[in-house]
Amino acid sequence: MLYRHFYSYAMGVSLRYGNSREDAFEILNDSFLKVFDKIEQFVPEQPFKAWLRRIIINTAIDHYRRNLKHMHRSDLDEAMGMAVNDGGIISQLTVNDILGLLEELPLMHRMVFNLTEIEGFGHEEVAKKLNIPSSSSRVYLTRAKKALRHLIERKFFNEYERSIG
Amino acid sequence: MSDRLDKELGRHIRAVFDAYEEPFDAGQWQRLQRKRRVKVITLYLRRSGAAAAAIALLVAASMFLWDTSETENPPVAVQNQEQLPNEQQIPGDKTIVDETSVSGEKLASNSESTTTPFAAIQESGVAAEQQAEDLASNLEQAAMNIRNQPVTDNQEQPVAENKEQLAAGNQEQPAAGNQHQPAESNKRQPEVADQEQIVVAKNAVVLPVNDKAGERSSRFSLGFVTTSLMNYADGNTASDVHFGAGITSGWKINDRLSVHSGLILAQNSLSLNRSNSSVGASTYAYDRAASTVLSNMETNNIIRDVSSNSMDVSLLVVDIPLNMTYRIGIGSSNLLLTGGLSSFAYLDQEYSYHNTLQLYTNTSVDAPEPVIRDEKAFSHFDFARQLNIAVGTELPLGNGSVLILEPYLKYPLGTLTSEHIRFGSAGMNLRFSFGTQ
Repeated sequence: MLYRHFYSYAMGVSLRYGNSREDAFEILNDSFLKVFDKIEQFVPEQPFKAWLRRIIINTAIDHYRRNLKHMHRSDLDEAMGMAVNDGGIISQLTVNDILGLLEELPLMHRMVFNLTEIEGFGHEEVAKKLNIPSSSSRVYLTRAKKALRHLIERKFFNEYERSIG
Repeated sequence: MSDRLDKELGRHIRAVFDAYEEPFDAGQWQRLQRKRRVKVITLYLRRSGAAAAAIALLVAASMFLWDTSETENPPVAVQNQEQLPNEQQIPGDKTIVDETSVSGEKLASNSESTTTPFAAIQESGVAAEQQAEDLASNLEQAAMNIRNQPVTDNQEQPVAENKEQLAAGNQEQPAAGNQHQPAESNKRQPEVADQEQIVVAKNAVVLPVNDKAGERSSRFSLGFVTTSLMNYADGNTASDVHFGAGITSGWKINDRLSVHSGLILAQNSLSLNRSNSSVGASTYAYDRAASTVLSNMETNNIIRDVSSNSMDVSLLVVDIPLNMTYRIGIGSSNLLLTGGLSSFAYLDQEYSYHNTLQLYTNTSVDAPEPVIRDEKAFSHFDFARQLNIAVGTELPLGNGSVLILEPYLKYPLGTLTSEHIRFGSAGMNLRFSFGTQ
C-alpha cells in the first residue's frame, strides 16, 4: 500500500512545514489525496519520492497561504546574533530538537528556510511560490538563520557547555 | 563562521528528516479515507446541485414561455374581429402581408392587413362600408365554422371552405364602386383575405390545443427532496443516520393518481458479520481480501490462515425511484400512499474487510488493520432492486406548491452492490414540490 509505504518519509517532510503535529498530519493527508487524484500524472521513470516530496511542499505552501491570517509574528528581528561557536552541538540535534527550533520560527521564516536551505530552491523560485518579492525571501532567510542560531545557543549551548564541563 | 554553521544546520536537518522514521498510524489512513469520502460527496453534491438548479431553471423558463404563448393566443381571434371597424382608418399603404405570420403575435399585423381593401374602398363611400361589413361577417362566420369543428377533424377542411367563401365574397365586392382603384390592390384582396382566413383558422384550431398544453403543464410538477435514512440488513450492526438530497418530478394522471421519479443522492452504510445471510456467499470478496492478506505475508511461521469476520460497507448511492402515488383526501389535507421501485447507481463503494488471523499456535487474533477495497464510480447498477413503500401527508404552501412529509421503507427485492448484499433502508422524506395544482 502506497500510503503505508511512504508514510514515514512523507511525515518527515510534513513535520518540517507543519505548525504542529496535527498540522503535519493535515498536510500529509492532503498530499496523499492529491497523489491519489493525480497518480496518472506520475511518470514511472522518475523517482516517486521526489514527486511525492514536491506535492507535499506544494500542499504545505497551500496550507501556509490558508493560514496566513492566523500567522503570529514573534519579534525575532531584535534577536542578537550570538554565534554558536561549536558545530558539535548541531550534529547532536535530534528530530524533536529540530522541530522544537522550527516551531519557534514565525511561519514565513520557517517556510523560506525550509524551501531554500533544505529543499534547495533559489530565492526567485521561493518568491514565486510564496507570492513575495525575492528580496523579502532573502531577508526572511537571513532572519531565520539568525533566529535559529540564537535559539540553538539559548536552548542548547549552555547545556552543552555544562555537559562538557 | 556563521555561514558554516548555517550550512551545517541545513545539512543536518535534511539528513535527520530524510532518515526520519514515523511508525505507521492506521488511524491516519482512516482519516484520509473519511476526508476523501467527504471530498467525493461534496463534489457530487455540488455537481448534482448545479445540475438540479439548471434543470429547474430550464423547466421554469419553458413553463413561463409556455404560459406566455398560451395567454397571448386566445384573445387574438376575437380581437381580429373586434378591431375591424377601427382599423378602417389606417392608411392602405401601410398594410403589408406577412406571409410567415402564423403565430398569435403576428396577428396584430394581420388584422392590419385586413384593412387593405377597406382603405382602398374608403374613397368609394357607402359601397366600401358595405364591403367591410361583409368581410367582417365572413370572417366571423369562418371562425365560427372552424370552432364548431372537432379538434380531431381534418383542420384543412374548414380553412378551405372558408377560403372559398371569403374569396367569393371578396370577388363580388369590387365590381360596383371600386373600378377606379389601382389594379394591384384589387388583385390583392382575395389573397389578403386568404391570409387572414388561414391565420384566423389556425388560431381557432390552436385554442383547444393550448388548453391541453395548459392542462399538461399543470399536471407536471418538479421538486426538491431531502431524506434522512437508516439502513437495515440481516446481521447489520451499524446504526448510523444518513442524509440525502435530490430532485423529483411528478406527473398527475388524474386527481388521485400520480407518477413520480427523481434522482436522489444519499449515503448508505452497513456493518455486516460474516455469518449473516445478507451477503452472497459465493461472490463475496471477503475471501479475496483474506487471501490478499495471506499472500502479502508471504512465507511465515506464525500465521496459518486468514479469515474474514466482518465487513464495513460505505456507499454513495444515486437512487432512481419510479413511484405511483394514490391521493386520499382527508379533511383539508391529503394522505399520500406511495409504492414503486428503486434502481441504484453507485458513485462510491468502499468495503473494509476485518480479518482474523489464525496462528500456528492454534490461537486467533484480529488483524490490526482492515483491508479496504474501493469500486469505481458507476461500475455497478442495480435495476428495480428495492420496493418503495411510503405513507405521507402534504401541506399546501400556495401557488400550487406543496410540502410533503413522507416516512418510507425500502424493501430489498434482491441483492445490491458489487458485493451482492441484500439490504434496505427506512427513513423520512421531506419533499417540496412546485407546479402542482
